[in-house]
This record gives sequence, C-alpha cells and structure tokens, in this order.
Amino acid sequence: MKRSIIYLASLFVVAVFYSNCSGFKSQKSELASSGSFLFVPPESITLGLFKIDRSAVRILPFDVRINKLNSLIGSTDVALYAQLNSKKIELGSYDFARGVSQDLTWTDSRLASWTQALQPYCSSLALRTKFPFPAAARGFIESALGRDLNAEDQSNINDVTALAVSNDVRLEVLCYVTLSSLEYVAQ
Amino acid sequence: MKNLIFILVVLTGLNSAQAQSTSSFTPQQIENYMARLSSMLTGRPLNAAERSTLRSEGYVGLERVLQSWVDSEFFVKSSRIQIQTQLGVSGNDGTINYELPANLLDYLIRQNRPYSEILTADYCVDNNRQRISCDTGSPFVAGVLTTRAFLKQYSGRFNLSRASNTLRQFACQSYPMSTTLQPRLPRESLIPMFAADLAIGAAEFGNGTACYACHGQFSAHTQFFVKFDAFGVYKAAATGLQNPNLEPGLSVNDLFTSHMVTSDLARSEVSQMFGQTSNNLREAAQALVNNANFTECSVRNSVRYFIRLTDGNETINRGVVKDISAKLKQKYQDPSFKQIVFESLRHPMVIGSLLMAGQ
Repeated sequence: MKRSIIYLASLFVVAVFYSNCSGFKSQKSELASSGSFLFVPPESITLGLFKIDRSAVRILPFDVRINKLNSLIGSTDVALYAQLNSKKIELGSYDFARGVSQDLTWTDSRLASWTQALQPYCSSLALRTKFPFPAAARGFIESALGRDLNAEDQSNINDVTALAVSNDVRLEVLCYVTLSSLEYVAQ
Repeated sequence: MKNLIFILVVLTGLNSAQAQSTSSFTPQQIENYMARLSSMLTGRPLNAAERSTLRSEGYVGLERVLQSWVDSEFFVKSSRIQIQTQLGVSGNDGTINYELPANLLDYLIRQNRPYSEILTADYCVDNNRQRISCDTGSPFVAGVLTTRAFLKQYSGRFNLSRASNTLRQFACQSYPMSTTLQPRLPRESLIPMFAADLAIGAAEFGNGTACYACHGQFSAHTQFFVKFDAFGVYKAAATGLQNPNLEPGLSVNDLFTSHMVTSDLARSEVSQMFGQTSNNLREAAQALVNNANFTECSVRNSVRYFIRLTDGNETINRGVVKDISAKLKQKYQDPSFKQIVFESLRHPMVIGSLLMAGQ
C-alpha cells in the first residue's frame, strides 16, 4: 500500500516535472540548444552526406535502452527488468516471427508505460547502494546521461530534495525523471 | 567559418579526403559526436574516462575509443539488431528459426571473419553459436540467402521479393538498375508478359508498364530462387512453370514461376549476377560480394544504423561512401564487419556531417 502511494506520488512528480519544471519544459528545444544534436525543428535537412528527418523523435532500440539500465547500476538481476521485458513490444521492441516490427516513436503512452515499468529498477536496493541520495545524485545524473551536470540538472536535484519524503524516495523520483527523459531514451 | 567551408566542399564535390581534416574538430565536437554514437555501439552513454580521453586527445582519442567500442560485447548485440531490423527477421515461429541470419553475423564478428561471408558462408549458426547445416535442404549454401528465415520472409510471386531484397539489402540497388551493372536478359528468353514494353491485356502484372525494363533484370536474379518454395524449402524437382489454375507468378507445390519462357530455362538455376554467369545462388552471392556495390552498401547500412538515420540509403552521399570503401579496400583484402563500421564512423566527412546536422 505504502509502495503504491509512493509510486503514484512519484509519477505525479514526474508529470509535474514534464509540465512545469524548467529542465523538462520543452525537451526538444532544450536538447537542441544544449548541444544534444538529435532533435530540433520539425523539418528535415540535407547536408551533403545524409538527410536527417528531425520531425520525428526516435528512441533507441529497446535492447539498447535495457543495456543502458544494466550498465548504470551494474546489475542484471532479472527482477529489476521483469516489467520492462514483459512490455517490450509495447515499448517498441520487435518480433518479426510474430509479425511485429520495431517502433521507435516516442509517444505519451509509451512514456507512461516506460516510466511505470521502471518501478522495480528505480526502487531497487542496487540503485540506492550505488547512488545514495543526496551524496551521489550528481553522479547518478552524470552516469546516466554521459555528460557533466548542468544548471538544469542541478535545479532538478534541488526540486527533488525539496520534496517532503525520504531520501530513498527522492532518489526514486530522480530516477523516474532522469531515465524517462528524452535525452536518456533517445541518446 | 569551418561550417561554411564544409558546405562548400560538399556542394563542389571536392575530394572528401581534402574536405575536412581530422584536426579541424574541437575536442567538444569530438565528444558530441561520440556521445551520439555511444549507446548504439556500447549500450551505454560515454563514461568519465572516455570523456576525458576525447577531451585531451581529440580525434586520436576518438579512434582509440571507437576501436574499444567495436571490440565490446554489446557491439555484437547491437549488430544483431541491425541485421534483424534490416532484413525483418527475428524470433522463432515454431517451424522456422528466424534468428539464423543474426546468428551468422554474430559468429562472423566474434570469429573476426570477413563480412562477405554473410552471403557466402557455407554453414549456418545455431542459437548456441555453433556451426550447423542450414535449414533449406539445398545442395549449396549462400549465407543468409539460404536460410528459411530470409526465404520465407521474402517469398512471393515470381520470386520478385527475394531478388529485390537481395539486391536492395546487400548491393543497395533497385530495379531498374544500370544495365552496365546488370545487363537485361534477352527479351526472347522471357515469358510474353515480361518481354513486353507495355502491359498486354489480361497478363498485366504489377506496375503494368515498362515490363521489360525491370523484368529483363529481375529475370536474371529471380531465377536463382526458382527451386525454393514458399516456406524456404529447396525442391530439386521444381519446374519454374506457371500453374495454369493459379494467379500469375505461382507454380506448383508452393513454388514460384520463373521469368523464362522455355521449360529448360525455367527450371535451371544457372543465371547471371551482375552480368556474370553463375550456376546457382551460391555462385551468384559470390559474384555479388565481389562487386564494389557490396562493400559500399555495407558502409551505407552501417552508417544509417549506427547514426540512426531515418531515411533510406539513397540520402547518403555516394562520394563519401566510395571514399570509405576505397580505404577499406586499401587496408583489408576482405574486411570484417568491425572494420567496416570502424572505418565508416571515423571518417571525417561522416563526423562533420553529423555535427553539422546537429546545429
């Protein structure tokens, strides 16, 4: 019961982050201006070697995203990934023998499913052990995103720190927010 | 200013080796480029040590880090995704193991075998990474082309899909292609509907017009598949003749109709690949990998997958692909998949283009 309440509260916080928080207000424009050169305006361009269609955000293949999660905490405990694997087709994976093609579009429903399926991972002892909050909050974001912490990341840490919950829950919220960000799932 | 020079170089078609030197990239640009690639090659973002290397060593560091990535375990896994999504084959339906094409690529990478064996290997590889006989029952083997996975996925009337996907996926060619590359078979050797320049009455099929322009070439390549049935099983007794009771393109016993007009030609597996007479699909595959289009297409496919271009291969500049292929040819007699990916992704023009596209 308590876990459900925490989880729902976390999802609410994630939703608030996506809608209000400066760091996540407009992921596309944020990524464009931050030097993460995956996504920018909704048009395609041709610059000599190849054409890149920037109108459609494409996330990483499912197995690549799972491996990123593995490598972040150094654990392949199947229980952490059970929900993700059970929803792998819903999350964009493929099984051509069953007539299912890969779908790497990032939709609201896929974001919700992905975030929900992260629950065992984000609430795991393995995560808390490797990245205890608040001491390792910075290390968590830098390791997850593969870059130095920026001002918006720090702002996010501050916002999570301000929540009236335990440090374990703060880490769980930071986990949902970071690992369901477009920057994480698409680069 | 560097950007302007780069665009001018591309537009004016200067030699790509002159286009952008490796020293023109800033460490930050190198890091940005590698950040874009890291997840697809290693299954994780850049780590602190790699960022430090790239910042301090620039392009030299890029080569070192990129080499470690293509040597990583995850590179094999990601490469499996590439061929599975490229060919549209994965999983197992209880009858056919659709993992065989990916298993073969997996094996070639781990054993450091030439990538050309993806079409010329005389064996298949099971899910335990052991060599096995392939599953079609054919007396010859031609890598992924003689897996039931490939043959079933692309089965269809006149074997058009098998031929077109062989050429599209491994030579980046579509019909009609240059007649210098693939001369048309003599018009008189084809059944009337494909010998015609325009559709003829009830025999109309497909696009209906300009039949010979495409099918004069299709005929050469579809013939190699004439003894493989709709389920990818080899049937030596196949005749290639049309079943009069079924729609055009369907023969008897779940086989597909040949383009050829005489019964001798219709049942024969002897045909042409890129103008070269080949006795069967295996020899055709060898002719295909010996052609420059194979390596160039491998470069295109790798760049498209690892950089995650959403558009087709035709949007990748041919001059740069040729330059990368020439470098591969200079350095290696028969490059491995790792070598193709490494040479492609370290090419200055590829780096420069991606950086430009990100602005």
